[in-house]
Amino acid sequence: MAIRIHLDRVMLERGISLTELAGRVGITLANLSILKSNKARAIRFSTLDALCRELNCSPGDILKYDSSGGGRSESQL
Amino acid sequence: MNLIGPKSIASKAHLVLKVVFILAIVRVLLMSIAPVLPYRSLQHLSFDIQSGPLFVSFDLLRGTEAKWWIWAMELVSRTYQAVVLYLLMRILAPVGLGEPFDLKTPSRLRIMGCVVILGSVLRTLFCAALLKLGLRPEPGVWISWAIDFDAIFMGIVLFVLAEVFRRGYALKTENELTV
Repeated sequence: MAIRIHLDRVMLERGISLTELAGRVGITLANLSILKSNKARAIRFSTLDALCRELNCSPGDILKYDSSGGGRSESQL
Repeated sequence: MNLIGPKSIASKAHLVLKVVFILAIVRVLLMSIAPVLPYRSLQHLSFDIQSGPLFVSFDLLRGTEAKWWIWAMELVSRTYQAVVLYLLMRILAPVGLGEPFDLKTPSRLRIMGCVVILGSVLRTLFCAALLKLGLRPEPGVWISWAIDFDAIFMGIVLFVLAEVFRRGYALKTENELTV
């Protein structure tokens, strides 16, 4: 997949820790780590909504399309 | 009581299967070490062996050759049972822990399917060999080398179940990685 998560960068800009964000969004630290490390296969709209609300950003700030990215292909999912 | 998960029926069944599997292994080892049929069996005019999908019944008093054939078939049959028990035990292990969709369950089900089909083929070959050697049963005692379609059907069902579990595991992984 060529979708990249730039959660760490947005978090750094907002000065918020992973634990604090997990608590505010209402998901587990483990799940947020999965998302941050680009291992997630899908993201719920509710999670994205909560992330954008807490980080005061738009989905485009967190998710980027990188065509040169050599991530997992659809067939590997 | 829950059907799956810790302290459930599945975990208890796994424990029972463990014991039965150990007994089956001991039985196979004993048969391999001492390849002699119980003496009392030889006293009977006919002797039935029914072990899983293998079923044959014929006169034991027709000579030692028949006796050795019975021993060989019995050994193969017991080994086959031990393999199936082992696979069942391994399939139930993750179910007992509350994780029915395990990565290795599909391959174990596929192996079980192969074993079941192979068992029916071996039975057919065994019975055909008996007839070819002239070790024919007494009148009224049935022996057939026809293909066991029930076992083949069961094997195919196990292959289908393997695919079901494979997809279940894929869905589980997908769900776990959805944030």
